Amino acid sequence: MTFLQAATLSMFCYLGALTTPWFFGALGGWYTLTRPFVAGFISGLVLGDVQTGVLIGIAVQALYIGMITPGGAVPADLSFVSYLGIPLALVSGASPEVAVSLSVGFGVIGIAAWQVLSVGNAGWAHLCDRYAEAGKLDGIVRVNYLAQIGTFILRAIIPFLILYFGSGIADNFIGFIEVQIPWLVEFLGVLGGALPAVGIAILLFQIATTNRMLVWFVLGWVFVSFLKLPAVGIAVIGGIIAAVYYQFFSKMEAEV
Amino acid sequence: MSQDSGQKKVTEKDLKKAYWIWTLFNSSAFSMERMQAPMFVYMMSPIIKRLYGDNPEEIKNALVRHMVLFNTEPYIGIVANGVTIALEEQRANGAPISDDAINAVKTGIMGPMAGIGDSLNGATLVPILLAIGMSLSQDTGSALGPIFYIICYLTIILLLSYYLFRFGYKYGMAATRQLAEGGFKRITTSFAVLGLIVAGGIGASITALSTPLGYSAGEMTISLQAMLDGIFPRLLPFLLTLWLWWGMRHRGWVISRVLLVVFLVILVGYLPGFLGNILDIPWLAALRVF
Repeated sequence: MTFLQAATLSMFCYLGALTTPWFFGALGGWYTLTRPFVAGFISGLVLGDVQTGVLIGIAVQALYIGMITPGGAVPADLSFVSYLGIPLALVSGASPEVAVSLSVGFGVIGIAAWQVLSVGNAGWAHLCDRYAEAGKLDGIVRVNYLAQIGTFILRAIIPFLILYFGSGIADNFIGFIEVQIPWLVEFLGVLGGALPAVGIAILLFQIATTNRMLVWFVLGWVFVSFLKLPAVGIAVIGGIIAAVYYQFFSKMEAEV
Repeated sequence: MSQDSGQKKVTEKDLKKAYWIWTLFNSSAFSMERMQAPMFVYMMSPIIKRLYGDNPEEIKNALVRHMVLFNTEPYIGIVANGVTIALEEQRANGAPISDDAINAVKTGIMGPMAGIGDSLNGATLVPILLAIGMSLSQDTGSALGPIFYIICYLTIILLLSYYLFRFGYKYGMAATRQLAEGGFKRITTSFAVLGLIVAGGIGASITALSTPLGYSAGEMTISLQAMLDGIFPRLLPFLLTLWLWWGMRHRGWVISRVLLVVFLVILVGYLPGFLGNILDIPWLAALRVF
């Protein structure tokens, strides 16, 4: 990976961080640039292979599709998943399954990094308290910008160092595994196929608050497994069913 | 008090400014201790300047008042910000609203709206649009899917959150509570139905788990997977997903536990050859080099 490529990717890592305001806040960053699907596309653009980037992005996104951040508690660190795991897999020529496993690793490491930042940022809140007592509105406004220092170190400088100096290591490491331990690659293939079930189960856990609601999930599953409908078709049919549900069933429930 | 000549009024420009500050900065100095409080104050800055600009004491009080912990889903929960601005405006015009009352309203809305927001934004809108985008790129790896996601998501969520912000400001506390408890619940339950159907669809198209087990007797070979496919295609990943959901819902498994369970199940199933991978998933097959 060249200096310029590593610098560009770490800039995207920073722009996409949960705490970075510059690209529509968390909407354009966390929920857009840092979705592995989008990050795969961007990594592909930067590293010169969009098609492979998008396919790796899909594979990794599958695992994290149900990922939300309730109360700032992140179950995995998507910034490192998306802008360390995916680009390193891409430059190493790894298969999507290996990319998924690599990304899971970075996601776990990243949780610690996020915890350091979100605990450390309390210092800024204390500074704001002092400004509030003094009635200094401008001081509090300034803190909103100054707090970017921590985010920049964590999401731009550290990723740059890992990308720039780590890509050779990752390449050799993955190449070594593929040649020397083929059964591990095959195992990772099976694991990489099953891991998206975790993402789906999390999504199901978030949405289905009662056992009864599972029927809708089964219906969606059957649409694909038996009827082979494409995603747009499922979204349209699902929208119609949801509209009918809104008009009739939920009204009945509300009246009970 | 309110014997001042003119009513103090937040302008259209102030509201727009507050909206954009919050949209961009809602997490910029996020900390576990005070969460979004410093950013809430920044969002309030055009409002505070407009309402209390000539009174240092009132500015100080407002800053201290809004430096208490605040945390919600920033883009659906933004309705709480609108309500708070409306309350501050009434207070500045002499209505007897105490600091505690304002904070009670903020915390009263931010809690339920965080739940609604997470399920509407993170658990419904994002996965649905991702699923559609992924299906557009699944076979070809084309750039169309990510571009579709970026444009659709930003358009929908920016319009929705701006509408909710203005709704909170215009209709205030009572209507917002009604929204959170009554009308919104119906909407979110209906969205949950859509989300579940789409989640089922995504699940069936992106998970892969199969068994290479079979039985050969002379000329005849019976594949267990072919039998399963005849009964219920993609049965194994379906059962795995439901089992993991059951673990989280009814046994309180945390995510690291779930990952460990999957790892162990696949390892224990793979080593003796009970589980394998039949390459019928495009993204798995397209790039497989081994």
